Amino acid sequence: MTTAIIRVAGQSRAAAVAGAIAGVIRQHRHAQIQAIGASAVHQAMKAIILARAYLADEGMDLVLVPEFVEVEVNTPAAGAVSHTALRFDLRTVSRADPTELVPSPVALSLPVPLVENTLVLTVPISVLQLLDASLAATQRTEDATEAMIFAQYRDELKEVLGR
Amino acid sequence: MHGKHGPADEAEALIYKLETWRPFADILGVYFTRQNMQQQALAACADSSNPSVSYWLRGERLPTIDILYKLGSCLGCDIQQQRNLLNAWLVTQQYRDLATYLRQAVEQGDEHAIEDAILLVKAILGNLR
Repeated sequence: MTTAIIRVAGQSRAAAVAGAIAGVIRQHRHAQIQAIGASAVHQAMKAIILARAYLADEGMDLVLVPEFVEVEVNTPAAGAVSHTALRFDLRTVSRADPTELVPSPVALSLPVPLVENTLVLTVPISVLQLLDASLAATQRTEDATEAMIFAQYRDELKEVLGR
Repeated sequence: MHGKHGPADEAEALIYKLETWRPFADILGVYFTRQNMQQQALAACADSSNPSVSYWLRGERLPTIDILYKLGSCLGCDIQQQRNLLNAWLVTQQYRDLATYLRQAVEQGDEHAIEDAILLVKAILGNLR
């Protein structure tokens, strides 16, 4: 499983990194974050916390596997310098059942039977996501009536789904 | 309703919701009202009929996708409003299709089949599990 590594610096904005993490997770269900130094690790952790919140509405949660990696950083003054970085391997689990990994949407767009009559289902875009996106778009353009309509249908659907 | 609620009852309740939710009619109604247009004029502009427009506005039927863009144009929709109409149409179409799908499972009568169909429909609606 290979996905691009999201590199975080001490000056990185946590919210921006969180958006990037959420985007990669939505696409691949897996992401890798890399940080060197205390302040970068701090920003990375904040970004992961925010990304969890971004993904919560989509039924996803994150588990984190940290590891040390040796990386070479090129600087104009010293050339290639070796550093020990922290890399966080993020994997997606179901919020309803954190023991269950959520597979990549590329690999899974149809129901896959598991043991004991259970089904794990992921859909690339759910109706709820479409309503959320419609609501966000109308809110940005200040279409108040349309926003109210989409909000109402989204809330009713959430109620039916118990979310 | 009393007594125990089985999968068939849950399916019926979900079918009722899916059949009665009508975001497309609501969004279309907003643009139709704003444009202050007669139904007949809209029907003529969109190469459709007055009863069809009436059905769409009441949420009893959906226009086919090939007429949707023209409908928005006739109502003077800009690109944002076209997007709202299209999104509302997509959601409504999914509701109608999923209701039809669930209805088939109910008619089959097998409780496990109904449970599976509910699970599947809810996954597509937005429950990832």
